[in-house]
Amino acid sequence: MSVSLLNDHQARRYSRHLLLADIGEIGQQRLLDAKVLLVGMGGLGSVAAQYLAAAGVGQLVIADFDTLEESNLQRQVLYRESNLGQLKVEAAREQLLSINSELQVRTVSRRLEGQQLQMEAQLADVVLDCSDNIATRYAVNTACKQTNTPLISGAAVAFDGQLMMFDFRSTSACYQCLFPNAVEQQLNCATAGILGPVVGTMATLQALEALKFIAQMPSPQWGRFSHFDGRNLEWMHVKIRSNPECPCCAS
Amino acid sequence: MNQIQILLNGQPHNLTPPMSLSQLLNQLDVETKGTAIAIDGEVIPSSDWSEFPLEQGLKLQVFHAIAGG
Repeated sequence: MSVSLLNDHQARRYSRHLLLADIGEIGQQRLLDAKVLLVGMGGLGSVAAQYLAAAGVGQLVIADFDTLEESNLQRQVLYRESNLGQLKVEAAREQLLSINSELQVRTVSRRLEGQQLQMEAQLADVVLDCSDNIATRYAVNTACKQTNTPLISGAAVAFDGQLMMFDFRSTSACYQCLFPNAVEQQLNCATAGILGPVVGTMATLQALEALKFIAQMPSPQWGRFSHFDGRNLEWMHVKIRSNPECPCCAS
Repeated sequence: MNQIQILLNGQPHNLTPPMSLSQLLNQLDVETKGTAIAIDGEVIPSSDWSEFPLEQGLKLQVFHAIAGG
């Protein structure tokens, strides 16, 4: 005799998950019990968060210090015109709770860095890097490495996207092994532009991989880097190797 | 002559060996900051670039970090 984990309402709400042999009732309970940190609530974070909220991920910690601007609405589809001028994390919290009122959403509205970043990474089951600059990407990578927290990193500009995942519980290769000595770039969404579905594709894949990870499904993406070419709909996948001279993770 | 051919981001590229990965990147003036180089589907750590010999037929891919999100 099996003991039911979910109540009747949850069994209805998440019935399409329960049909999936790889998720089922145990996987759904894992989602309900999970805690995910999203660093950045722009084109990546706002889209990924919607899927996590809808899927019933119990606790979301969302970090961003920006307010919503008119130029964000073309791709950051979680937000509404009525949210213009509000802190993104406040607007996102309201919208996410309207998708799923049983969530806990905690907001961080100042720059997440240093000890606070490390503490938030430590408290999370998995971290989604949804940020928009190299300094934050290196800092999130370091915090995840130091706390052995799995990292699902997405990026997008113009028609191009990137997805890479690091399971710091078991591997030593990190974002800085992959992209050493990176400097802030001239090309970003504000200068080079971005098409909504390109960043949305990467965000959706971050959400997919987060849900799979929480439900304890395997993924070929751990330790792999993928580049998405949105013009030609082409993907390139390469295996990441650790750099013995990496300033972040070399022992 | 004594040239070999590699695939550079999917395009044939001829070079005269011996040549290391670093030498090729230098010759082509490739920005190396925030750059990942993969050969035959596997990223080569930057610490190995100067020692890595280029050989006939290998597939080299250059990726630059995207920061946006």
